[in-house]
Formats: sequence, C-alpha cells, structure tokens
Amino acid sequence: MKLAEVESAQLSHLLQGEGLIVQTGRFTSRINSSSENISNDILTLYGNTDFIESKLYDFNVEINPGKGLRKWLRPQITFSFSSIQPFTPLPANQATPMLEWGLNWCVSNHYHQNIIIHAAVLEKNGKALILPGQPGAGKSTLCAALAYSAGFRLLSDELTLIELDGSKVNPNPRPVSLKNKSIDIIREMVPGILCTETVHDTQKGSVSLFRPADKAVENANKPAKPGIVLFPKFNPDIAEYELIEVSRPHALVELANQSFNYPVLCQQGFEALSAFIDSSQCFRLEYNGDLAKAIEIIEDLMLYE
Amino acid sequence: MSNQIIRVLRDPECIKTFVQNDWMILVQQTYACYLTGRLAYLFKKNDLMDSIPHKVRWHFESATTMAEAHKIDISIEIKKIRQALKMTGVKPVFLKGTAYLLAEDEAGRGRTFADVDIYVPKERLGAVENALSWGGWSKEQLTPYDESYYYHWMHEIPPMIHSIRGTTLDVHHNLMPLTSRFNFDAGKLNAQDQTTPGVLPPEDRLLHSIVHLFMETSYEKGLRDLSDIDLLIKQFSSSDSRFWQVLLNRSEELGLNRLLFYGLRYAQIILGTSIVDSTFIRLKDNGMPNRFILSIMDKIVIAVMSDTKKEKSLPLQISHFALFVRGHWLKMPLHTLTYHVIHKSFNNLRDLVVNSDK
Amino acid sequence: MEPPPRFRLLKQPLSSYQDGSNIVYYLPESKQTLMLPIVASEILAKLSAAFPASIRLDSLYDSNSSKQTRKTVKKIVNVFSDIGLTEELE
Repeated sequence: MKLAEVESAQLSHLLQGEGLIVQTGRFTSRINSSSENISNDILTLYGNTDFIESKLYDFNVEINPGKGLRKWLRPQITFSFSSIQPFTPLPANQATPMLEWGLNWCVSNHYHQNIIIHAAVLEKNGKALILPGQPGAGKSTLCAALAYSAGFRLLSDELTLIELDGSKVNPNPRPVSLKNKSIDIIREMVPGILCTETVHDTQKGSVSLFRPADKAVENANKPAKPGIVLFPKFNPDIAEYELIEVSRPHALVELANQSFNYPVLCQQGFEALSAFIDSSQCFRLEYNGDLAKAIEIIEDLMLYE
Repeated sequence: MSNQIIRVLRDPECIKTFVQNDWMILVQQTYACYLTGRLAYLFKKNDLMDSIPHKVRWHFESATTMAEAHKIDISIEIKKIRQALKMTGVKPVFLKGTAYLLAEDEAGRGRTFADVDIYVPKERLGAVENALSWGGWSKEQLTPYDESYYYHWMHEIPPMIHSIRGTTLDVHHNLMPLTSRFNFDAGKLNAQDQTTPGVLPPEDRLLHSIVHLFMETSYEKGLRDLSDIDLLIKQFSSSDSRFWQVLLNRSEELGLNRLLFYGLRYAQIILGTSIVDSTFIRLKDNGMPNRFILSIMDKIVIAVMSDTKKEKSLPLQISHFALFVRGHWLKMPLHTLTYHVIHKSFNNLRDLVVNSDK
Repeated sequence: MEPPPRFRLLKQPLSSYQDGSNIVYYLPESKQTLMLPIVASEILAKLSAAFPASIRLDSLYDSNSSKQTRKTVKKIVNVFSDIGLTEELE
C-alpha cells in the first residue's frame, strides 16, 4: 500500500501520536508532528512511497510548534533529532522546508558509510550525472528539468552518496527543493506536477518542494555507475553556452571541497573520490538559462563512452 | 520509555536479548546522550557488533569513523598547542577528553568533544596567552559581564578560538573556580603522569573528572561524563591494586572527599561500577553528607542522569534547575551567587515558568 | 657564492591522484587537498629515493633546466616544507 492510499485521518493520528514511519529516500524516518499542514505536505511529497507500519527506522525526528507564551505571539516551529535541536526555531509556516533540511542534516552529519557531496545526481543508461554547484549556479533547476522532462532518474537533488570504493553512486530520492524563479519555471514546464505551496521569506528565499517521480522512488536501491561530473554555471550574459572539459585533478579538488564528510573520512574519502573521478568525465557548463539547450548538451554528453 | 542506554552501559551483553523496539529506543537515547561513539566502542570491545541488527549497525559504525577522525584532529591540535607554547617553556597539562586520548584511557575511546582543555600555572598565564595569540588563537568577544565573570571567579580564561582551524581552546590556570567552596591547591596537581607526559596521574585524572561533573551547572552530557568516571575507575582499579588507597589519600590531601563520595556513589548506583567497600567506609565519616542532603541529592542526580529524553517534565526541570543553582553555589560566595544566578538563569527561569503548560 | 640549501624528506608520500599535468595530494595534517603541477611528483620521487638522507636543492633539476623550472622547483619544495613533508637543513 502506498502512503497516498492511507486515510488522512490515520496519517494525522500517527503523526501526532506514535509517529509516522516514512521512506525518506534511502533512509526511513519516524516523523512526529502536531503541526497542522505537515500531514498534507507529507502526502504530496511522499504519497508514492510504500506505507510502512512497523520497521527499524534510521532517524527519529520531530517537527513541533515552539512551546510557551511565544506560541500565541509569533508561532514558531522546532526541528529535533533524537531530542537534540540542531537549528534555531523558524516561523511556523516553514515546517515542511524545515523538515526537509532537517532530514538532509541527519544524513550528512551521521552517515559516514559513503562519501557525501553537496551535489544533485541523476541517472541515465545506468550512468550517473553529478551536478555540484554553489547556490545560484542553477544546479537545482537543471536537476529538476532533467528529472521531470528529460527522462533522467533522480537519485538526489542535494546529497550525492558515493560508495567508499568509488564504484557507484547510491540513490537517496527525496523531494526536490526549488527556490524563487525556478519554482514557476518547473511548474510551467511540467503541468500538473505535485508540489507544496510556496513558502516565502525563508533563509533561502521562496521555497517549494516537488515530489520525485515514481521511477525515482521505486528504484531507490538501484545505484548508478560513475559517468559525468558537470559543474554548471548560470550566466545570463552569455550568448549561447560554453562547455569546457575539466581536468580530473581539478574536479577532485572541487568535489572534496563540496563534501560534507571529507574531514571525517580523511584519507579514505580522498581515495574514494580519486577512484570515482578516475572513471568519470568532468566538464564545466556555462549556460544562459535556456534549459532545452542545456538538456540537449547534457544528453549528448551522456552518450559518450 | 525504558532506559535502554543505562542498561547497555551497565552490561553491553544485554543487547543479545533486544527486540526491534528496544533498538529504536536505544538508538534514540544514544544520540540524545551523546554516547553513540562510546557504545560503539563498548560493542566492539565485547565483540558484539554482530549482535546488532544490520539496519541499525551503521549508526555505530559511523560513530566510530567520526571518533577516529576526531582523534586525528585532536592529535594535530595537541601538536600545534605544544609548538605554540615552546617559546614560553611552559609544558601544558592536557585535561578532560584530550587527556583521555593522550593517555589512551578507555574513557577516550569513541568520545568526541568540542574543546581542548589545558592547564598552565597562573603566574605564566600572560606569557601563555601571548604565545597562543602568536600561534593564531584569539579570545572570543564577550559581554563585559561575562568578561569580568571569567577573570574574577573562574579557573579558566575565556575560550580561545583558532582563526584558521576554528578549534576552541580552554586555558585553565586553576583546576577549580577561584572562589570555590573547596580548598583546592592547583600547585599540588602539577605532578605529571609517569607514563604519559602532559596529563595528570590517574588518581588526579579521576578526581578532576569527578570534580567537574559534580560542580557542573548543566547536565546535558551528564550521563556521558558519568560513564567516563565509570570507565576510569574500572581501568585504574584493575591495573593497580593500590589504586583505592592512593585515590583516598589524594582526595583527603586535596580536600575533595565530598565530591569523591558523590562520584563513586552515583557511578555505583547508576552504572553499577564496582567500588571496594572499604572506600565507602572511609568516606562515611569524612565526605558523606548528612542524611537529609543525601536523600535530596539522590533524587535529583538520579533523575537528571537518567533523563534520556530531554523531554522536560516539570519535576525534571526542577531537578535540572536545582543542580544548576548548586553548581554555582559551590563556585561562588553567596552575594555573587545570587547576582550571577539571577543574571544567568533568567532564560532558564523564564522557560520554567513559560513552558510549564505541558 | 653560497651553496644551494640541502633538504630532507621527513615523511614518505601521502595519497595522491594525478593526470598528465597536475597532481593532487591528500594532506593528513590538515585533511585538505593540495594540487600542484605534475613536476611536484617528480621532485617527490627524487626526495623519496634519497629518504631519509638529505639532498641538495640543485640536484632536483638538471643543469640545462630553465630559470622558470628552477623557480618552480624551489616553490614546490617550499610548499612541501610548509605542509611538514620536508625540512631545510642548515
């Protein structure tokens, strides 16, 4: 049974009571929340995951309104993982984005079985396409366009998990987080796509979360082989696009800098990245926002042997 | 919710009888008590990794990886601190977590901590601060209140942060607050360990650990610290048959019998640490508090140490608050205490009142 | 003229990854990565061959090396010394 088929009263009951166990990508999370909107958002974002009645879960998280007088003055929401609150509370309407950030934090701070890079990752023909990128580089928009309109399978829009022998990328398919202008771009590109209502004025601007495709969720255990590492750069002033090959040592240094747990894995992390990069090809793509063109170039790259 | 973490700390073998739900409670509690790495070490040591369900094991494996990385970070830090202090000729004594790592104590295994603590003689403090600032450490910006609090009442200077590595260094010039109710002469602690240079000898390492925990004002990591004490006692008493004798003599010399009594009592009650009977007999006349105080301490310490959910019910919050006030009481004269507690506990008090609608 | 300084390798090389033009080292002291021109690996190989003995700086390049090459070699040896891999001897 899928989560979407569960009575919404039962979902709310679980969320507010013993906790709802959700398949959140590669990991399972027990979510507890008395926040009002979160039940609907969870349905929107995780409706196509299997409903889990009882299981060993990985993360125990709560998303609850702040307590005390404040809750009447300016309602706030707190995220806690195993009773620890790693973030300062946020305005109550940011419950769902906070849950998603919190779940990413759970993985990047505790899971050291893989080397974790701050990058979007997709798969085509068994090969991984990794899109690292600083905020504003356009990695999320590109990732969403490839996942929702070009037949790529989403592995993750935020955390790329590479096996320590460098042989493969492990999927962690979770909702895609889009910001500001890219929200409308993707909503227009894919009519009827399931996403949460836009929340404005978060730390990252306006945010909306998009449900990953069924194919991404169903293949959550199917890894991808090393393929292409593409550093995107959004540049509205450029006439068309610019594609440059990046040397592997340069790419290695960039991936290490973008890794959350490189300082934890130390030499092991370096060796994982070396092995992975050795079987990948690396490029830098500067594009002017013409997504159709960018997709065309990337599809060509993926055909490379 | 049952207290699985204390069960496992007392007897790691008990996980062999664990069912699914016990594991979920245990994992939640290990994170809440900052003990994931410690348990991972205990499981490995007792050859129990295979008794952990596959789905749960990664938490403990990752915690081990993290502790190993932490050990490297700290050993780099130790080297840099020694290098920076070379010009002063001062040989720092490393304290707490860093000392456990240096001395390869069991209490250092699987443990991660935020700050490195060193002790230097008070008369060399100026030179040490100066040398550290040449080495890239600088003091955090403090409010004038905190600044004067540190200089007048504390046994350490404000934390120093390294500008490049971002690491925090606590420089102690005494091992107890200056105005402490316990008469504790830092000069007497200068003796360094015979086998490991740069740390206190075993009996002083244990005493310092106990003093710290039982003069603490925040017990968020209380159970972890009590587990350190448990492991130190086990290690020292099994490797030296004269250990109890040495410990008691030392504690008497330093005037720390009361705190030693608490340390041993709660390690024994909560974690089942075995303590030689004659030790308590000797502490009974000199160290043990009166029955009234003891019954109060028993209640609040056991409540706070067993608090694995940090889900603060009102009685539990009162226990935490009582230990907070007590910690400050032990450190300061009464008039300063009143002012300081009011100043510092404003938030705690407010939360206590405002949050009690649960 | 003063004789060129002598160097000694303190530690054997670390993990590294290279292509035809660059080499990346893993630095255990800071856990950082360090990228240098490929010539660094040749210098390190010469230093390793002499390990633990010391060698003169000018033996790291040959007599017909350009001024630019000599400068690069000197720079690299300095970087190695910064990261605690080599030490300059009096």
